[in-house]
Amino acid sequence: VKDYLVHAAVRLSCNYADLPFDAGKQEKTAQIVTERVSAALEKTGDAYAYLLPSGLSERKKNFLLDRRLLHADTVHSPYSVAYLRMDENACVQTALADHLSIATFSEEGDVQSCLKTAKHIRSLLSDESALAYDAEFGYLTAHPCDAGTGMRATLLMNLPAIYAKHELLGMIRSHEMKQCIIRSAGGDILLGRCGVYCIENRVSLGMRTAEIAEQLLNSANALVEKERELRAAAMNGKDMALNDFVWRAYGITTCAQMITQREALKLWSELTMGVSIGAYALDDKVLTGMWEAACGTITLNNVQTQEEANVARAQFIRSLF
Amino acid sequence: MICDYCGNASAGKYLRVIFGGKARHYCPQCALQFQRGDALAMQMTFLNVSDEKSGYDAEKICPECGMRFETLQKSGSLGCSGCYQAFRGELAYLMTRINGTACHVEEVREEPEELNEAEKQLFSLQGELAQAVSMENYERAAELRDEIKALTASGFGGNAS
Repeated sequence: VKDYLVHAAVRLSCNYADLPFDAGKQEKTAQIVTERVSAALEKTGDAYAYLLPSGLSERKKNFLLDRRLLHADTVHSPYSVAYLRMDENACVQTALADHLSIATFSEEGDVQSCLKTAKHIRSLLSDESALAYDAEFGYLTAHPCDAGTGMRATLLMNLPAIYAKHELLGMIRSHEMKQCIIRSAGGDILLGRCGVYCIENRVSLGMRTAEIAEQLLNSANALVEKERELRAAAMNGKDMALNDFVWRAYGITTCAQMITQREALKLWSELTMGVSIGAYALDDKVLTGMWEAACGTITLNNVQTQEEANVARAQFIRSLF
Repeated sequence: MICDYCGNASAGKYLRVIFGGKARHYCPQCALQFQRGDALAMQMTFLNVSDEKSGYDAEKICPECGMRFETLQKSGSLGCSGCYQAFRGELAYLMTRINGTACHVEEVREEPEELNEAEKQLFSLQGELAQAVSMENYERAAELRDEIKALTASGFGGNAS
């Protein structure tokens, strides 16, 4: 069952040197980019599926968004096309803010292997046509914040004890955390909603990609260490506040009549800790099912409105117990 | 509270960011924009126009795509790879503020023992450039940039793979 480090993803952004950075808005540029990517990927031994993000089912889209293989800005990019590798761990998306967005994913949280794969794909794509590159600024991107390595590495972390004990702010001030950005799992700015966080590299320029990844892992390790320490202190009913916290989650999960996707994520996080500190035992399929409900990858039948979806989601979750 | 970026007052939690030693407060909408990667555009807005160190020139235009610096300042997005050349000074200044350096470290230098003379020279020049930019010695930085450009034009350093 996923816990602590839930998964890792890496995204490399880059552009073709001879094209303007307007593929997200100009169909003609987007078409040239797509043709080049098709030609480059055809030469590789790997099989890629050609996807139009606008034509994907909600379930499939959520699955790919959860794995960060599709960019969150996809909905604003009408000409974007995605090439999904058949193992569903790598994807090349075209015509976003940048011409190319190479995304890789690791279920095991192996950020270094994600990086290796992403760099390999970037190298294949650059064989077809030169990428925009500058000796001083590195890979040139539409947003100057991404220039340099063009890399955004993300680790999704489950840290409910840190959340419940309000330890995050103290952690952010520590030396290890200065090199990363912490967001809530949904990507919004409010960190106080649940214990699932994304941590991302702060800088993309002035360091090698491997160094950035290593720095991110150091930050993740500091968080995991703190989370383990807090959970260890709550084992066998010792910390009543944390035990109450996880039992409340259990109560809501088994009784609630409506559960939103965001709430499902919060409950999943807290139940995972409940199992981890020995408050109760749950079958793996319960936590896996809850994770799927939280990511929106379950099928909710005969649902027309948001309210109906929340009712169906709660029903699905209750049925897991 | 009034948002330092859009100037509007709205309800919700404000994001506090320290920029240039001063605290700025963003309303929830602007904070979202800030976190989505438009940080540079927002920081540019806060730059003092008369700050000579920034090399700020709103009238500057990219000869390749015709983008004005003013447009970059508003949108946070560049129009083409030529913009990096056209607005090099301004971008170097801002990228140093964000990343602590404006100098990319090439992956090719992961194994320094295999460097040839030209690579070693480039390595050294890039190190000096990073130092010059961080010391805000832009004259020296410009000289170093020209030297790097000459070296890369001679066949090394422009390999984007």
